[in-house]
Amino acid sequence: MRGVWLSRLRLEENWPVLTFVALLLLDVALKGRFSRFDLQTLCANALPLALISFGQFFVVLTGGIDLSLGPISSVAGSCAALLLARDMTTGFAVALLAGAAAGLGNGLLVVRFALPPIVVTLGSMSVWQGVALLILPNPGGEVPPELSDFLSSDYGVPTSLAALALAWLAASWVTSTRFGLHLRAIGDDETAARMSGVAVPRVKTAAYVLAGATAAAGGVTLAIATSSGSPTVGDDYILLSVATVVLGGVSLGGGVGNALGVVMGALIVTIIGSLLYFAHLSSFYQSIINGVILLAVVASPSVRNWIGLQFRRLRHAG
Amino acid sequence: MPAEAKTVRLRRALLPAPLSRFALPRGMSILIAFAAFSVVLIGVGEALSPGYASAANMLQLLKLSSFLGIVSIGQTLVILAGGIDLSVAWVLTGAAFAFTTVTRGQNSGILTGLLAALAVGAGVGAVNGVGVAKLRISPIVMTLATNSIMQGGTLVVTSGSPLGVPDLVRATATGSVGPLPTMTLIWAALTAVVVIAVAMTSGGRKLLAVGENPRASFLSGIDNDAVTIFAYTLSGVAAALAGVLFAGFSNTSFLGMGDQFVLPSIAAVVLGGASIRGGRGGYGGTALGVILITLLSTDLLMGNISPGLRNIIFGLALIGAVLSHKLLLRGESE
Amino acid sequence: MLALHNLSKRYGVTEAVKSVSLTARPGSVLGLVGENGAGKSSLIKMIAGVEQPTAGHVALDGGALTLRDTNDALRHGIASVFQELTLLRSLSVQDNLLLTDGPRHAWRSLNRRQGRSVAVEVLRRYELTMAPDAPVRALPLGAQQMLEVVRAVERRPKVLLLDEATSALGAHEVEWMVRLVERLRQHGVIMLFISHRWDQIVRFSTRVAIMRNGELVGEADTRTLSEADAIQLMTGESFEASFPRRPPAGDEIVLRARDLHSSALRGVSFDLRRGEVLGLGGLIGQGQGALLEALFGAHPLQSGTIEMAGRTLRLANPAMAIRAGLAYVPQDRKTEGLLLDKSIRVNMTLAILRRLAGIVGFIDREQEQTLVAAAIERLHIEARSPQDRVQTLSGGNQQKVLLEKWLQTRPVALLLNDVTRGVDIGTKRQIYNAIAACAAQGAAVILYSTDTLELVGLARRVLVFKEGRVNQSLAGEAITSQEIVRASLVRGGADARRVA
Repeated sequence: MRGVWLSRLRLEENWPVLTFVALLLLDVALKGRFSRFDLQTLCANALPLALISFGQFFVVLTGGIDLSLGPISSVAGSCAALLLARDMTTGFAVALLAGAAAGLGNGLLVVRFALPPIVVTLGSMSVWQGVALLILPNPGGEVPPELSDFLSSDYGVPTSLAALALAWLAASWVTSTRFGLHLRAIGDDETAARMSGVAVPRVKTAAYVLAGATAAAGGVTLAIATSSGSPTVGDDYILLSVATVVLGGVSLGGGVGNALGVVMGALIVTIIGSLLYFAHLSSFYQSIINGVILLAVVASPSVRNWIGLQFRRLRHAG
Repeated sequence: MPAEAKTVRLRRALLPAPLSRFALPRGMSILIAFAAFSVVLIGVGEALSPGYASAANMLQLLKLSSFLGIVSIGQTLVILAGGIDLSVAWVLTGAAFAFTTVTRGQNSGILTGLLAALAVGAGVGAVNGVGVAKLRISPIVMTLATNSIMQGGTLVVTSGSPLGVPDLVRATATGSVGPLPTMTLIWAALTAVVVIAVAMTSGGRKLLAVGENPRASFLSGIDNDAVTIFAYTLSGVAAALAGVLFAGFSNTSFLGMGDQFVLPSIAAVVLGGASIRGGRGGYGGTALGVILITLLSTDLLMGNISPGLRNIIFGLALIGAVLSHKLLLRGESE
Repeated sequence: MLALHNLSKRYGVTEAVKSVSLTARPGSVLGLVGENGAGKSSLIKMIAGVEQPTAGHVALDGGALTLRDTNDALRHGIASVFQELTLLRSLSVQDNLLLTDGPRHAWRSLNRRQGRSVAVEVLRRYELTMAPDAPVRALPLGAQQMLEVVRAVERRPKVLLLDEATSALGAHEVEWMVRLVERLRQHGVIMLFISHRWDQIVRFSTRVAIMRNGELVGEADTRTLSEADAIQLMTGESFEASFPRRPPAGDEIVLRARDLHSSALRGVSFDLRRGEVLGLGGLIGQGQGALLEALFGAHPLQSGTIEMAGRTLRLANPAMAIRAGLAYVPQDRKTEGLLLDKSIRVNMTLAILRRLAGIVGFIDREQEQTLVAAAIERLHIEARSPQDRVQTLSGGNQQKVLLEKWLQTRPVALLLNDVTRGVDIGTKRQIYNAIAACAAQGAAVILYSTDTLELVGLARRVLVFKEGRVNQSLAGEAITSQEIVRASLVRGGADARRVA
């Protein structure tokens, strides 16, 4: 009986959503309420992480990894903090272009020279950290208050929720295109993909460019949310974006994953933070919990296989 | 045309005709590259601050390098085995805190403190190894997670308040035996042990086999899981040892003391010519990489280069090094 | 019309293809046969654009072609299907079929519903029964091969090249292939077909071209050429002579397998005697490889026993098997057998580290050096020094290093999985001698080969596999190529259930 119910839940595919829902229920139970304000805060906090993680998502689908997305978001945020006040269009444009350019650099090195992504992005991570420090040595700059207000306002639907939903839709759209299919194909088997007619160099480079631009969007959002730019704000997101995509069911080997999972991953991480904050547990505990949950998630297929193997052995012996 | 063929063509285009066909044995190219780069870096250093190139200063730099050097021992072993260890930051810090907490600044507690620190390192390392080998968790995720847990754990257990270090350890980390800094001697001894072990023992062969081709290694009767777990455990121990000694050098354990070692340790391994995919390379190259990194960092510091520019140069140097490795080493599959 | 003019290919010092010229008319199916290492694959690869010729050229309809890669070849109308599939395994059948040109919505998103209908239509047109949503990974190998062929045919090529692309097709699927080939013939497609399966060559092709040692040694009409004649042309000499004399087998049983069951084995039992060469035959993928791996602890057994020296062995991993006296030379030397980046020395001693290492693990350099030098000498391995990286050696020499690695373990039973695959004739002979010498010294050998001539030449007994069990056991005079092929295809009788 339980087996049927469990299988209907399709645990294999849906655990990111289920985990998030479980945590959300826990949150509501502890706080005793779930107002629109809570929803707005949750989405606003999750938005930058979601955007940067989407960038990571595109690269990981191809079987690579990008450790420079955090610093890229810092650069974009700093550009935004310096330019938005002067002219909003320029501010947004420069920030996003900077991200795309950074991504292009990564892509060229990985594709043209066949260098391992982890080493390339390790180097470019340092480069962009440096660039961020050059642009904005200390946190500062200013963001037009209209933007910050807009992000924290509520027009029937909290803007942050709308923004998150929009980001999710955009990422979903990308994965639903032929380009998205090709990303997955490259992650599955790059040689086979090339032999099957996929323009591997172009698609792979595009993945990195897209990742840079998306991370830049995340950086701009961060700047708006905090009303200032900071050269180091993105550093935490370097590894956090990897953890988020893994929590979202994306395989680091490439070829597997969807946008909904990434959103759920970002929400899960954010809500854990909020739960710990509410429980007056210091942020120290957040590190531990994040680590444990990450492990639980990635270990569960192996653990389940092992349990299944033991059951099969017992059945055979009996 | 696949990227590999393109790289070969690029090589032929960039290097003058006779050179491009002449492929040096790997060890030689690394030594030559090291010599060339260090001459340049030392030259720059001398220009920025006369006296830089003196023997005394060089010995100081070797002392400074030794902490990263010890951490990189573990990182090298893990990368050779086909993995990566992103948990060294907080294993180092956690072990350092374990040490200072147990010893309470007293020389009498050193042995117990050391055991505690090494136990922390070995414990986390073993957990990493089991997760990667038995549970088939990606090394990036596994070591990331343990790093996170160690970060939280250290903070929770010790409340993060810095503690003093026993005199003996401080003396070891900062002192000298005659003209040679003690740390340099320790690092040199460890280097010799590791290089010999990897090159001349069956354990070393197994490590490289697992890293290069786990399937072939398995079919040759090698216990891949045991080798992997052992490599990660040693990495934890190395990080722990570095933590204790670095705490001695800084005369305290402090939060975040391990952060500065993670990425440089990986950079050193790559600079030293080992393949990030595993199975190729050795610690000798890494040690040279560590020295180059220290030379570069001190040059940048002395040149009063802003932190921003420093980071940029460091990053470009890493990319440049990997690129030139790719182009110079005969088109081997990386 | 497809024409090859003096096409040659040289890899380093090895001449894989020596000035081959031939023509193929539209609507013809040319079967390309020859032993392992005869050059068939290299030839096809040049036509497919995977390799570039070192001399000569390919011409299509009179115009000479320079093909830089497979996409280039496709543009000229040349499609190819190789043994290594280019399907994306985690994607669905539909996605694989419509990878580069599936229907889209106005906003560029893939129109999955329409795509599904298109996929269903394609599958129907080719009489395939697989579900469009099925992940390719879940399909049996035969179905995957069929899908791969369909993908190539969908490109409407003028020339279709098939290199061992049908090895896993069952009888039913072969009929499907025959119908497809007929349709393509009527459309004037030129087909080149490489297979080591003579039965398929006979069914599909109208003409046969025989290659030996890189050269084209004969062309004939399939209907008039008998297998015996083909074999004669392929080997070029009475094959009796190329095999060493079979040493007499002892009586002592060194290994006893009873009722082995696994995911690929359905009840295999046999006895193995001292000094005997036991052959495993049958079509590819019938359980032969699985049996060898199971005996070596690399393939999990669900039930059954393996006994050696009177003791029942539990072989959970290769380390245990090696300790029990077994040695296994795997099928793919590059991905399973050798560490390509390491030296000959390191590779050769990889399985005997325990013997060479003292306390603490230090390897006895002198002993190692002597050992390796003797081995290089014994098998005539062509290399400048034992320090040479194995990657720089030719395929034949690589295989010799691999074989020697396992001979070093002084095994009681030597398990060989297609040991002469992709190896030139000269090396093959050396390997046969080594196998015979090993048997003469008292080891038992289990030899799985896709080359029936080898089984005929070396083995005293041959177990022909079909669907995971021994279909028929042949011994002595009964071992002929025809018998082996017949036993591979036809269901066996009471013979199969007896202990072999």
